Amino acid sequence: MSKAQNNEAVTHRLLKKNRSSAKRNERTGKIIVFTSAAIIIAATIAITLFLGYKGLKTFFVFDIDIWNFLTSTTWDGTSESGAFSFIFGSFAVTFLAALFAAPIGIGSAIFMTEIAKKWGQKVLQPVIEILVGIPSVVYGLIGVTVIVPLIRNHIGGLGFSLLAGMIVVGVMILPTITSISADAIKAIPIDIKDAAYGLGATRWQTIYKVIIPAALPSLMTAIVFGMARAFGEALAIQMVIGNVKGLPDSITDQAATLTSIITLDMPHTTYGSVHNSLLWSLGLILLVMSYVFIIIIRVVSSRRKI
Amino acid sequence: MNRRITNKLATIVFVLCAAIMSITLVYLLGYILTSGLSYVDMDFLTSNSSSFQEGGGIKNQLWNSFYILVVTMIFSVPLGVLGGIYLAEYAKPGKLTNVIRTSVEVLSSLPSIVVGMFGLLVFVQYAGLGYSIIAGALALTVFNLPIIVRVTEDSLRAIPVKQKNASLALGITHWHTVKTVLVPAAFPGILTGVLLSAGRVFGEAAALLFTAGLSTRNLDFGTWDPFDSTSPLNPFRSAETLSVHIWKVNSQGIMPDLDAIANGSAAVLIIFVLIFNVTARVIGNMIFNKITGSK
Amino acid sequence: MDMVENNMKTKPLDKSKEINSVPLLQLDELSVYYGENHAVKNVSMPIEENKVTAFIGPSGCGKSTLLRTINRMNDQISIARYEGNIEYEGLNLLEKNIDVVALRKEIGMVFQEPNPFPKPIKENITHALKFMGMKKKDMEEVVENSLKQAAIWDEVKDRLKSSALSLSGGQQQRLCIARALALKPRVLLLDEPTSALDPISSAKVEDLIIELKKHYTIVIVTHNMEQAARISDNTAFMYNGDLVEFGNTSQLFTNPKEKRTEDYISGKFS
Repeated sequence: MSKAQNNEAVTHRLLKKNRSSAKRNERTGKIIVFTSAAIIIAATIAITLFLGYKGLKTFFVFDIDIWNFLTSTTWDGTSESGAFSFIFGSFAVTFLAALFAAPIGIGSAIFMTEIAKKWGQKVLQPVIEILVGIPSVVYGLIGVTVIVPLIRNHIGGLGFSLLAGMIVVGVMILPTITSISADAIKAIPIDIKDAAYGLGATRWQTIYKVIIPAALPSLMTAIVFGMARAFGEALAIQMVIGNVKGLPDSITDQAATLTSIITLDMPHTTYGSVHNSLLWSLGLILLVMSYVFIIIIRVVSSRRKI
Repeated sequence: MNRRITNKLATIVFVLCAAIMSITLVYLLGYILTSGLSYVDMDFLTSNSSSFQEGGGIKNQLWNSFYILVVTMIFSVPLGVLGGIYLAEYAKPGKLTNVIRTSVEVLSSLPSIVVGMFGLLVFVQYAGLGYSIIAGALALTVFNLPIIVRVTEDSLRAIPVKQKNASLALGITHWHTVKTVLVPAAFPGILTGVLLSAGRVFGEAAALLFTAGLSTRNLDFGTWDPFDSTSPLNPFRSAETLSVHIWKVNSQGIMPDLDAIANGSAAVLIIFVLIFNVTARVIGNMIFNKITGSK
Repeated sequence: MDMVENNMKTKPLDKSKEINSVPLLQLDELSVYYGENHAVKNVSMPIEENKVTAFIGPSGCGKSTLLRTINRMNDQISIARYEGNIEYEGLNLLEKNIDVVALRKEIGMVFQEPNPFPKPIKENITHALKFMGMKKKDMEEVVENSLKQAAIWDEVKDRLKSSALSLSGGQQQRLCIARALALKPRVLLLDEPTSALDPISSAKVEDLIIELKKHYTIVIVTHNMEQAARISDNTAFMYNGDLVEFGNTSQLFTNPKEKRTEDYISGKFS
């Protein structure tokens, strides 16, 4: 095209005009949508930065030794305090809950998808989805009124214990694990299963040799999701665990977790005090752990074959 | 022979797992509803709570729960829907898209107590909102946002491409297509997601302890001036919600009938959560039938 | 989308292929890439005004891609990239400064699968008119005219308010044609418009296309060679991204110059 033609073409109806309503319309849309996306990113960064800042203050402003903080079991609100009992409590509750919820949850998912498909779809699936939505205070309340007395009367101790926390949280994450596992098993292509049955495998052999290996990364993801939820759960645990600041001697002993101590102590500390700062450091541990869980989930699910 | 026995045994184990789960969960629901509902009557729903004496109700807490829910939705639905539109329609594969996807993932996996701490620091203290409905709703927005983003993105992606092409080929801008073709088509899916998330927001307590506060004034339901301190509409007053009330009564209550109040409140809470869930499910099924019914 | 700037240089347009009039659109050395995949390779051909031009060829030969390039619907695909020229009124339609929104009004498109909006019949027509800012009272006339032009008015005039999804497939497709006509386009691009329809509905759409070419320039992609022979004036046979042969339809079908064209139309491969 020659230059003359170019100039002539500037007025053509099919060329973009700076002030066309279409262009303005597109620009408005982009601005609105990008702003929203930016706000979401900003919120995430803000949370990370604020918690990081407040949580690290303990070590850089109040000069508390990080090693001492992570390993000491004394918790008196002074600079000698350490969070080890709570870190231990959080991990103990998380692993024990997963130990109890994972087999039952995955077993139920297999029941729903491979053994009683109709019943699973029509009855169990909706029930599980509703249970995922039950508020955690309700689980906590049931823990206090049912599980704690049960432990006190039949096993011993006060009832408020690591065991009670583990049961309550285990029950809480059970529907989560079941629902994600069931989705994973349903996603296995039917011909893989048919091939196994076609070779004369029994149902158990098909489940054990074909279904579980094929769905394994997704099942792991389900368990990690459940553990992440357990680790971050606050009120349900706080209501039943007893909140004693020290390492428990046994599973029926009272204990405390990072979340339960934050819940209890936060309202009673003065802003800017060492004690308050220590609580922010506990919060920072929770934040770091939720990043860790995300990374684990990414690593595990990147190995997904289905 | 051996493998048939193993197979039988395995089946029994799976049935047992499902039975343990179902029985536990049905028992829990049944327990709360039966032990709680006997205490629930009009008087319980419509009277002020009491700190020491017997016979307190949950009128203000119930109102606060709904009010915070509505304010949370006003913040989180538009922002979440636009974020979902960004991911489904505007995001190009690349760093920025990864950053926002990771952000949504981080937000959705934050422990709610951490969201509460952030709310305490930023909304209650830095922004000077104090323990208030608005601070609570902002904290819950952080908590709810990722859910709305995901539902919106999924619903938009489920729309057949041919609908979008139809509009673009008529010389309609992308943004106008999003507004008039895609969002209306995704609306039922988004609505289902919003209702499901409403159930979660309604029951959330940990994020509210340090943001909306643990106390509530006895509200005067005759005063609708939002700046009056006893007005139910005042967004700057502290507001204990129903779920927070359950926690508080249980852990700090000294009234003689605290078990009954906690169980009654829990029953009411569960019923509302169930209503949100069931409505969402019914709408979801209606859409499913509509899609499969008309080809 | 990358635009090759050096094709601003004038190239002598090859208009020798048995075409007498000046074409409305002239494709010149047009290439389309999807990432590394060279989907349309150096295609040059004219598209004559008020004629039906058919693109034929086996699936995956690039005929639909070529069609979707003319109104820039391929812009939707982020990895799509163009080279060459589509000359139209002295403009290259592939340039960055082309307003694709305006372009798509002028070069309308109908898709393989009928895709009416899940809205009342009338709103299917007015959807775009509203966006253009047409006044309500002017719309009535446009709705009626375009439905009449698309030969569907008699079937729907009594139920303009019922859902477009209640129409049969063939009716839906004619509604989609009406929807495009309402914008008064000059060119209509039809992407296998009858492949999802039964024979009777297909015949109706074919009759409509023949009727429409009096007023519009039509480009149709079809995998049905009988259809191309019945309704088109010119035919382009594509294979593997290449334009193998272009010419007058009756000549191309009766006396193809290329061996591959002959093999294809005689059904040796598909």
